[in-house]
Order: sequence, then structure tokens, then C-alpha cells
Amino acid sequence: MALKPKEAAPAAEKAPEAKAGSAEKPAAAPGWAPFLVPAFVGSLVLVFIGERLLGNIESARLVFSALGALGAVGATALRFVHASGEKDPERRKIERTLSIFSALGLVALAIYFAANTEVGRRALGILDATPDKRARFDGASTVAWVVLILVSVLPLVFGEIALAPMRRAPRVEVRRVRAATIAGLSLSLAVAYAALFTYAAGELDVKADFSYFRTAKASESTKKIVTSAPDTVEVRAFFPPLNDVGTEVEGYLADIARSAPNFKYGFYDRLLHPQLAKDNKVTQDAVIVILRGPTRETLTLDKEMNKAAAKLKTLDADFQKALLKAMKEQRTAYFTVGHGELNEAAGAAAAEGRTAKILRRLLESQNYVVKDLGMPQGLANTVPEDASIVVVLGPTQAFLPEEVTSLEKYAARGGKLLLALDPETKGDLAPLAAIADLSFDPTVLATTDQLFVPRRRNASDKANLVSNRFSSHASVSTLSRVSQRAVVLVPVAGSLDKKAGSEPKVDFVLRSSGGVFADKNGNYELDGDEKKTTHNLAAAVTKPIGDGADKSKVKGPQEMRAFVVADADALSDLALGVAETNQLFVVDAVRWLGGDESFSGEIVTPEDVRIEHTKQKDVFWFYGTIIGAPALLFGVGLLVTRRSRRTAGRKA
Amino acid sequence: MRNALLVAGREIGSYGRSLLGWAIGAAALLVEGVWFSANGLSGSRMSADVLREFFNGASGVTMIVAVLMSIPLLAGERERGTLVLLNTAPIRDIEIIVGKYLAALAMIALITLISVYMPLLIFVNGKVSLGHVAVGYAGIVLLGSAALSIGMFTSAVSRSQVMAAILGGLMLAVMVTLWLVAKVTEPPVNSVLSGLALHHQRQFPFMTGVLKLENVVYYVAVTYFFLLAATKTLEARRWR
Repeated sequence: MALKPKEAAPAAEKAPEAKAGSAEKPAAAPGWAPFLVPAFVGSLVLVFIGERLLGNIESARLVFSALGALGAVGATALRFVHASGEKDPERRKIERTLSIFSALGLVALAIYFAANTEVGRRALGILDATPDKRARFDGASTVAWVVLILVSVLPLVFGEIALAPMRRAPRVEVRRVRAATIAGLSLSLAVAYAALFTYAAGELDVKADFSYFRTAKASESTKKIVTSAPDTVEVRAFFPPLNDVGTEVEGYLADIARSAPNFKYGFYDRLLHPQLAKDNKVTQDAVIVILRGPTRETLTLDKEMNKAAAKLKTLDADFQKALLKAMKEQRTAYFTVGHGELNEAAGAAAAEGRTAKILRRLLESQNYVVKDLGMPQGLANTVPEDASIVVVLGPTQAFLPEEVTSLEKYAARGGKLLLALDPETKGDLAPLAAIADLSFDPTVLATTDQLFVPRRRNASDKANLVSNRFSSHASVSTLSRVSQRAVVLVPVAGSLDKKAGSEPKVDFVLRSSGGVFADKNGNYELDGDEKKTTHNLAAAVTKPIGDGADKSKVKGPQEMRAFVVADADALSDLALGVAETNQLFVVDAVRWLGGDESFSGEIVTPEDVRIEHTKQKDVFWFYGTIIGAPALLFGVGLLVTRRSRRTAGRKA
Repeated sequence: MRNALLVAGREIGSYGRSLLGWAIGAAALLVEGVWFSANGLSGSRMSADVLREFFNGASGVTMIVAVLMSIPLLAGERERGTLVLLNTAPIRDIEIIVGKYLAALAMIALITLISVYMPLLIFVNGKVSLGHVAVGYAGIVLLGSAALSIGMFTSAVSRSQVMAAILGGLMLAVMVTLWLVAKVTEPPVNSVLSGLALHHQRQFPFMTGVLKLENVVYYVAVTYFFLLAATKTLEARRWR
């Protein structure tokens, strides 16, 4: 290769000293000197094999590690001997520098063995140290020996590469070798700094989440549930190492742990901890076990991200459901049947969404088991003892007097009722409302505001009310906090009022806007003697337990609680499916009825939008993205390059 | 720095005048378009999934483009015998490296960003956040920067462009697939290997719209290290 001017420069500087053509003999470097670096590096490789690859075979580990350590010590000792015996001051300087780097490698080995062998740890007093101190020492010593190995080996190798061509030369150039060792040192320090910076940034855990649709975050509600536990809640997550789904779950659990001191979690590899997996009855990966005292609940995901993605989106809701199961004993919610309720709708009503599948699911997520309660189950006689809540969901026929009496008795003994009444019913619902000391006016409400939900695109849409006028009652606490951006959908509602001279404490938790009127003539227009005023759409009622009732058998709070809605459609699948706020409305109401109002809060279930295509659009997009844009870019490129060639030609 | 910017300006000018630069850009768009149509526009899929798939494909394309663009930077100059002109110019080795790197990075960023119409198409029928799109592109540019620096290093150590391409491709492949090796090794080696892996664990948060300081620092660190290594390789001609 021809000498380049810059390369020639150092040689030219040295020319007078070298005295080309002089009869000066090369220095008598020992024949083994060039092999010191390979021997040193090879020894380190032997230590690596012994410690890392054969660590489980004690005899092999001993042989390899001992040979490696001895080799490294021997190579360094020979280097020092060679340096001290060197007569040429420049060569001596080089050898001394290389000896120092070699010695740094020995220091690294010493730190490694001191920190990783029982003898060394005992000598340093680490064996008896606290776990925190041990962890700090382990971290610091690992960083120290890894950095020292790098700082030792790279400059040694670079220095040897620079020195090799000069070994048999009459004179050596110290500056070349120094430049090489400094280059090696810079690179090794760059690696060390880069690794440490990245590690430190990881420990800081600074992040900004701009994703529209992501793994659910731990909601305030979930955190409240955990914090309310009187003892420790422990979570054991069984995931393979370096699993993407596990990483997502870890972020979720870490978020809870930050705000709940009584929450502990750990990640385990099922195969590395077979006994722990067996104790927790875990037979597959991606299982989260929630432990509280003797209670154990499991939540199963998938270890493959593409399959687990859907479940990660509802992780908060699912985790909360499992958590509630672990926290509280399962309760029973009875849905009344036999009166054309929403929960037994079929045919045209079901097709219109007048069903209660979502409400049933929401109750189950709150750790309720849902059962039917009608004449065959004895509603005419009594409400079963195990009832935590009785739900009457939009009956279209009147209840028998015996059934009403049975519900009254249940209320008097501290029962909890969720009554969803509906104006579009044939029967008289007044007796049901009277159980909660309310009166129900089935006249359909309509609005003069522009705030209604269009459905049929005619005047009847004015009855599809929306409202964000919540009270500060515990049963609507979440919605009242976000009332500026949350409305509840109340399609075709009646109205509620307090019965004259009633004793219970009644709080109207949801009211209509002031532009609503009772549409007596059913034309959805404000006319005749109809007046605009605020109407009560939902009420929370509490009453002390009647005398003679056995308080020990009362489920939940020691009082009668009833949550009455003047529109059953607000709790139907149609409304709950469209408006997430309606789900919050009913979940908070159920929590209040069950005495869990302290858990109130939004459950995080982000909503994504599915992209639907038409074939025509796909064709347009396909050609646009595949052919159009690249062709346009290439065309512009052709024009630009042609023009620049023409310009260059003209100039020439 | 002024010299580095001069080198960068000269390089960018040469990219603009060469049809190859435009052809690489068009080819990148073509491949990303095919990927987007095949994975994003097929069937009925969630908006966020479509966006993530697009970024996944685009990141692969960017890595390849980065290596292709980095190869001629030093190995090409050496092959043509023009590196000596730079060596004799009153300019430091680090300025040569940084200048060429900045020019190539600007081109990669440009090629990457002109594909922005694809994620924006999601807004037609779906719903994603602009922040998510911005973070995804930030991840791709950072990945491109790291791949470019690796390519520059291999370009600096190789005498021919073919050797630089093979070496660069190989190094990139190893860096990308380290997470697979990490899966079959034991702690703590597996965490070191997965921490070093260039794409899998580092790029996924960007694709999902999560900007993590750790990943940004990692890509900057990789870029810094390989640029330093390339500079030291250029300097090595003085002591080899």
C-alpha cells in the first residue's frame, strides 16, 4: 500500500534517529514476548469458560478457572520481568505501560473471585451483611470487574497490534504504541460509560406514553382496593424470562406497588422455580397469582404478545375482578324474573338491545354471582337469606302484592335494592318505587335543549336525554368528579320524587337539565300545560334497619340501601354498550349498595377503533401507497439529477 | 464542527445529484408501502395494531437503508482512492466521520419521514394519536442512526465496499438477533445480551407510542460508540 502523506509524517520525523542503513542491530526481545497478550487474553477466556459455561460442574470449573487465573498471573509477571530487564528506554516504557494494563486485568480477576466465592465474601464480611448491602456490593463489584477487564484487554490488544511490526525493528516508536493504547482505552471507557448511562436511564424509568391504545394502566379504583386490604396483598407472576407480555404486566404491577405499600409482587420462571409453581398450582406460563392470606386467585394471559394483546387491554378490569375475589367472599345478586324484565328479554326487545348481559358481566366483575329470583324461587314468600343485592330491571308487568311485600320485608331487614323502573310498561310500578319511599311518574320526559341522542331521526329523539348533573353522593362519586366531560345516557325516562312525609334519607343523584319537560300528550313538543323544569332521574335511598331485624344477617352496610333509576334503558345493553359512562354509573351504584364505595373510580379499559375497509378504498390505497408515492419520488429524482447534469454540462 | 458541517453539506449535495439516493428512497417507500398494504390494510384490524405493524416494517427497511448508505461513505472513498484527499485536507478524522454521518442521517430521516402519509391514512377510518406517530418515527430515526454508525464502522475497517456490506450486514444481523440468543442463555448473561439487542426490546416501546429515556440513551450510546470506533479506525493508520 502506498504511503499516504499523513502516514508518512511520523516516519519522516523519526528518520534522523533511525539512521536508515545504519548497522544497528535489533534489540534482543525474547521470543515469547509477542505471545504474552494472546496468553493473557486466552487465560481470561479459560476463566470465563470455567466460571460461566462450566459453573455447574465443580471439578471442571476448578480446573479451568485455576488454569486461567494462573495463566493471567504468569503472563503479567513475565511482562513485568521483561519490562524491568529491557535496556532500551523506549521499549522499557512501552512494556511498563502494557504491564500496568495487564495488572489491571489481575485486579479485575481478584475483584471477581472476592465477590463471587464464599471465601472471598466471608473475608470481606459480605456473607453476614444485610440483603440491601449485599445487593449494593454485588452490583458495584460486577461493574468494577467488568469495566477493569475492558480497560485492561482493549488497550493491551491495541498496543500489541501497534508494537508487533516493530518488535524486530532497531528502534520502536513509543508514540505509535501510546496512540494505540489510548485508542483502546478510549473505546473501553466509551463502552463502560455507554453501558452505565443506559443502565442508569433504565433505573430512572423516565417515560412518556403517547400511545392511543395501550396496555391498561392500574386504575385508582384498583389501587384503592389494594390499599384498603388490612394485610399484605402478594402477586406472583409466572412468566418466562425476557417475555414481552411479562414486561407489560410488570409495568402494571409496579404502578400499583408505587402507591400501595401493602402490595408486593415478584416474577418467577416456572421452570426455574418448579416447587413454587406447584405450590401455586401453576402449570403454564403467563399466569398471575394473587395471594391474600389463604385466598388465592389466578389470572391467565398468553405468553405470546399477539395473542395476549387483547387481554392486556382489559388487564385492569380483569385484575380488579380477580383481586376482589381474593379480597372479599363472593356475594349473590338476585335478578327478579317473570315480569318481562330486561334480563329475560327475547325476540324484538333483545334485538333492540333491551337485554342485560353487560350489567350481568359488570356485577360478576364486582365479585357477585348472579341468580334469578321469581315465583319458582320463592319471591312471593321471601327473598333468600344469601341475597346481597336484589335487582329489579325494567319490569313490563306489575309485581304481585305478595312479591312486593316480600321485597318490602327484605328492605326492612337491611336489604339492598337496585330498582330500574321504566315508563314504557303496562303495569303499575308505583308499589316498587314505594319500597324506597319514592313516587314514580311514568310520563316520558323530553327536552327542549339540543342535548339529546339522535336515534330515529325524528321528534322522538328528544326523549333520549343525556345528563351530567350529578350530586356529590358516594354512589356517583366517580362521575361527579368528571362531570365536565361525562354524561349519562337516559333514553325514554320517567321521573322520581320523594313521597310526602317519607322517613328515609333520599338523595337524588342524577337530575335532568332545566330544559326538560314531562311530555303528557306524547308529541315531544312543549305545549299545553307542559312546563320546563328539572326532573329527578335517579335516587339513592338509605333507611335504618327495622326493629326486630337480625343485624348479624345483614349483608354489607347495616342499613337499607336502594338505588332507583327512572329509566331501565339506561342500564340496558344498548346504553351500556354505547356509553362507558353508563357503566361507571351502574358500577358505582353497585359498589355503594354493597358498601364498597371507597373503591369507586374508573376502570381503565382503553378503547381502540377497528379499521374497516371497502374493496374500492383498498384498491385506491394499495395503488396510492405502493405505486404512486415511490413513482413520484423517483420521478422528482430523475428531474433533479437531469437538471443538475445539464447545468454541469453547460458550465463545462 | 464547522468542518464537519462542510463535509455534511458536500455529501448531501452529492446525494441529491446522484440518482442512486433517489432510487434508494423510492425503493424504501415501495417496500414500506407493500408492507403497509399487506399487514396494515388487510382485513379488519385495530388502529393501534396497524400503526405498530407499519413501524415494525419501516424499522426493518430503515436499518437496511442505513447500512446501504453507510457502505460507500469510507470504503467507497478508499476504493476510488479519494480518501487520501480527505486525509490530506486540513480536517480532523472525527470531523470526517461526523460530517459523513450527519449527511447520511439527514437522508435517512428524510427517506423515513416521507412515508408519513401511510400512518396518516389510518386517520381516515381509525383512531391513533399524533404523539404515537411522532414517537414511532423517533424510534425509527434513532434505530437508523445506530445502524448507520455500525455501517460506518464496518466501512472504515473494510478495504472494499463488498466487504463492508457483508461485514455491516453481519454485524447488524448479530445485533438484531441477540435477543434470540438471550432467550437460551441464563441470567445474568441473558439480560446483558437482551440489553444489547438493537431492535426487539428497544424498538417495541417506540412502536407502541411509549418514549422511554432508557431506549433513547441506548441508541445514542450505540451511535456514539461506533462513531468513536470508526474514528479510531481511521486514526489507526498512524499506528498500524
